[in-house]
Amino acid sequence: MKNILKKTLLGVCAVSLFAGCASKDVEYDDSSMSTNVDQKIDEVAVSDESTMVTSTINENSSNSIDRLQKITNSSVNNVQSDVDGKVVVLESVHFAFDKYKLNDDMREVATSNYGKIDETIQSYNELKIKLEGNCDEWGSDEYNYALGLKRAKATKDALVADGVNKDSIVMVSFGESNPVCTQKNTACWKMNRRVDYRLLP
Amino acid sequence: MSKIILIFLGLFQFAFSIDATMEIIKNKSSLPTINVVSAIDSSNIDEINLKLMKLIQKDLQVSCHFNDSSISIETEFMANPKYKVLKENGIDLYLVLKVTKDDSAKYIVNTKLYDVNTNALVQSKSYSTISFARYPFLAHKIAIDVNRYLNAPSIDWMDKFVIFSRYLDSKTSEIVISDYTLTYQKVVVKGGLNIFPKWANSEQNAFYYTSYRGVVPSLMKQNLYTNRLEKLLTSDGMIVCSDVSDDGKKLILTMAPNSQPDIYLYDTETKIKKRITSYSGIDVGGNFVENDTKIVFVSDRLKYPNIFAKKIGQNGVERMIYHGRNNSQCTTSDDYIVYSSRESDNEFGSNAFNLYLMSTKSDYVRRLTTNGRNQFPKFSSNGESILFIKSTDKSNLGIIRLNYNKSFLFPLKSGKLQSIDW
Repeated sequence: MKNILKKTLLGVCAVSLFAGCASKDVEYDDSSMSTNVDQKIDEVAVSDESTMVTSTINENSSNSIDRLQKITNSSVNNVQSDVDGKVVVLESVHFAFDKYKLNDDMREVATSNYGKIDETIQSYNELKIKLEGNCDEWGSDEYNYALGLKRAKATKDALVADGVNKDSIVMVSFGESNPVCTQKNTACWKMNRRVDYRLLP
Repeated sequence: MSKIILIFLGLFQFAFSIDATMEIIKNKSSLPTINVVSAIDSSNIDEINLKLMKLIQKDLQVSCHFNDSSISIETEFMANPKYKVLKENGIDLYLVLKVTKDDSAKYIVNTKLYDVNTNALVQSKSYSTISFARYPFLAHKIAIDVNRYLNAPSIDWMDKFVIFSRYLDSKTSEIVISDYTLTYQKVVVKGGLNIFPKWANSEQNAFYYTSYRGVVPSLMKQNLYTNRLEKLLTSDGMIVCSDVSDDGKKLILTMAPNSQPDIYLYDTETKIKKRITSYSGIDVGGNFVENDTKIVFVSDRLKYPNIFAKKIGQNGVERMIYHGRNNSQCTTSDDYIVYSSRESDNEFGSNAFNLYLMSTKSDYVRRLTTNGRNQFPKFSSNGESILFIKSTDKSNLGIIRLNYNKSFLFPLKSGKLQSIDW
């Protein structure tokens, strides 16, 4: 930075002196070659992730994800999972602003969800539980994704404490990219600070 | 006699020194004035004429090496300049453009730069593009060439790409490259949720980003020109490339292999990752400082986001900022940090987020903005400028020219930005 400042000061002096220098010798710069701006843009390749084959990710899991994407939420606070025809409705857990600790009310919701998950696991012991952490729009990019992850981790800890095998749980943070409400008010932002539970058969 | 000569020489030197000093002080505020005009015999392509001319003028303003003359002059491209009129209006440099469209529908821009003080044509150049949408790159090239004539500090950074991601819908985003004003835009990754793009090297021929195509997020590296896509790492929860070392060989990542977001150093040659922070809360957004021996990062160690520093390989963590209620974004260059700070206690509403510049080696702190929500700060590659997003009633892209204490805004039509790199 010091070097940059030094160079800049010298440059500014050069620029400044130019203004008052009427007898400056000049050189004529005539480029015979035309400058074309297209090359570096034309060669840019475009990739479409939606058309790619996911070869390195477990195909079964991928299919499960695809299937779950089609499941509609019955309400903004609940997520339905379809486990071989059986519908399991799990309530989303909500958090205070910039917090990732479960309060007593939300701990009860987590326990209630555990009961439904435990019942389902009895029939499908290969079941995976996916916890999706989400945030409101009031955060910075990277910090918000970490906050979403900490929220998912809090619900994972609750499930493990209740008796779920930790290896059957995967987590992902969507930061502020997955709002269930897009209005600009505190009630809406509160709904977006949540963890969604999804079951992957 | 010799004493008289010595005294005379001494007085002469003294007088000259004073004069020279005064001249520099006098001229510090009198940058060369440039007048940019579009020739009346340009093809009838008013839109590109107007847009191109305005963007060249804006580029020259942003360079901070010119004063812009607002007088309107009508001229044909080949006509000799009316030097007398130009001098009377205090114009030092005179740039004439002529835009034409050839038989293959290619846009050709011819330029002539005149030095009014010497009554001379000093630069004559030609630029072309096949697409009107690419006129921002024509403008930046022309501004760079005019600046080069003055031997002023380089503004070659104007011709570099900016890369950013923007949200389109729930769990859907795209990655876009653009010129530094975000006027020209081209989508390079689409489909699904693809976020946190980061240039992989100074040549800008590849970039890293986070893909959500699998069950857990993956860190991808994509070549901009060959489309070669490489999956580097995956992590439960999140994975983000926060910074790339100057030589492109080391990355700072935020990832959570043990369900805990911490900062890691990743060697792209050995493929070995090393955990740098191990705090039970949130550590994110690591950036190299002091020749890559130290990182600054964002942590909630004080129960709110703030900026901390840590030497790589050592245990101690140093708090860097002692004001603000939410300091959750930072960017670094050499030994300098620019961070965004929320000034008020209210977590919602029209809070002011201001940008500050500080040194890691002294108590130096300088406030860079005064109002609005100023976020997503990013240093330019040479450390001379800051790019940021300013939100007031509407969003703008801001450029702060640090050495000149000036900032410029460009209207933003890009939707909700997720992340940006320069």
